[in-house]
Amino acid sequence: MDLNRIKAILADYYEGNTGREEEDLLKRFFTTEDVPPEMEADRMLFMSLADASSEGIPDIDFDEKVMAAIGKNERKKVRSGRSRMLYMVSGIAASILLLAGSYLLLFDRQVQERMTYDVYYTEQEMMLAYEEAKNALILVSSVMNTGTEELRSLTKISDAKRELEAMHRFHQGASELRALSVFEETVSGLRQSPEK
Amino acid sequence: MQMDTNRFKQDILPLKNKLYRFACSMLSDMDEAQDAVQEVFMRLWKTRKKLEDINSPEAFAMTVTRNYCLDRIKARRTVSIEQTQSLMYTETGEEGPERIAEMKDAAGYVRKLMEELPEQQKAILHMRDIEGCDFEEIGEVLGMNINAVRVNLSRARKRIRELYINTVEHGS
Repeated sequence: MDLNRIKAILADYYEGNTGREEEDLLKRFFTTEDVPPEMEADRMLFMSLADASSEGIPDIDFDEKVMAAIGKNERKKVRSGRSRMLYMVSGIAASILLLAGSYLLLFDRQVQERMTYDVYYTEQEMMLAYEEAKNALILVSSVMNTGTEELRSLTKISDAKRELEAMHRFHQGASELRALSVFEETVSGLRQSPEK
Repeated sequence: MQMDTNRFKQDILPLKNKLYRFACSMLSDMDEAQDAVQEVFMRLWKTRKKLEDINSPEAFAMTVTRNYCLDRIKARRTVSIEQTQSLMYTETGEEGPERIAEMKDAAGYVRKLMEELPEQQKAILHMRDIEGCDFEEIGEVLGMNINAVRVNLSRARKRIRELYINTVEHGS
């Protein structure tokens, strides 16, 4: 191969001005022919670039790993979509059941209770029951009143606290007065110093 | 046509080696690159609706890979200062003759030098000289115009040559 031509193409190569064909020519020259020693750096560059272009993923199971990971991802997605739908439907069904069930239960009991009163108790008996209930409630209220009476003693604590607050104010005043006394000492010190 | 698992396996999965090489270039770590490609495939699968509409799924996959790798690199940079300092020490520390010889032996030495390039230049050099991508495709993936791609490619190629010559001269 004409060395001068190679050198000219190589110069273009380093300027980034070569096309694919010219680059292939250089690659062929540097990897197969005797290269003059002054072009050793160029030979090394082409050798190692050619060497690098034949590298591949060393793991022979790589494809299977990727496809398995993709498959897992896909299944998970499908399942999650379907189960979300299932959750929603069963949620709605449960709410309807709950509403219908509680309505029936309550409605039923009310009807039953009214029927029970109407059938089994006379008006007199019902008045008696009312009086009994009233007495029980009065008892509860009186007990509660004595309870609150005892709670009133708690106010004494808050009174004591108020007095303590007054003490605190006094203490603050005292410390301020102490500051004043320092001032006074300084003034008297100053007054004495000119005499010296 | 709808993207199902079969079509994904047929059209997208074969990009794995190309994406892996790109991730290797960017992350300089083979294990991390493989994890990155797996994560990229998961992301591509999640956005498969978009994959159906775009002209070049390949360029899109490269873009996703690049963005993911940039995120990884950014995350790495936030590691503790001590770790960074120890890394810097080993990189700039004295390189014994054994290390130089070992690096010179491997054709991968130049690829080690590629790690020194700025991210963008590294990506351009990789896409053009390792993957043989068109300038248009590179521009699309990196969001640059063709002129800027050419200028950066030229800088990257020159820089690698210069780095190689410098280390060989100083090493021998």
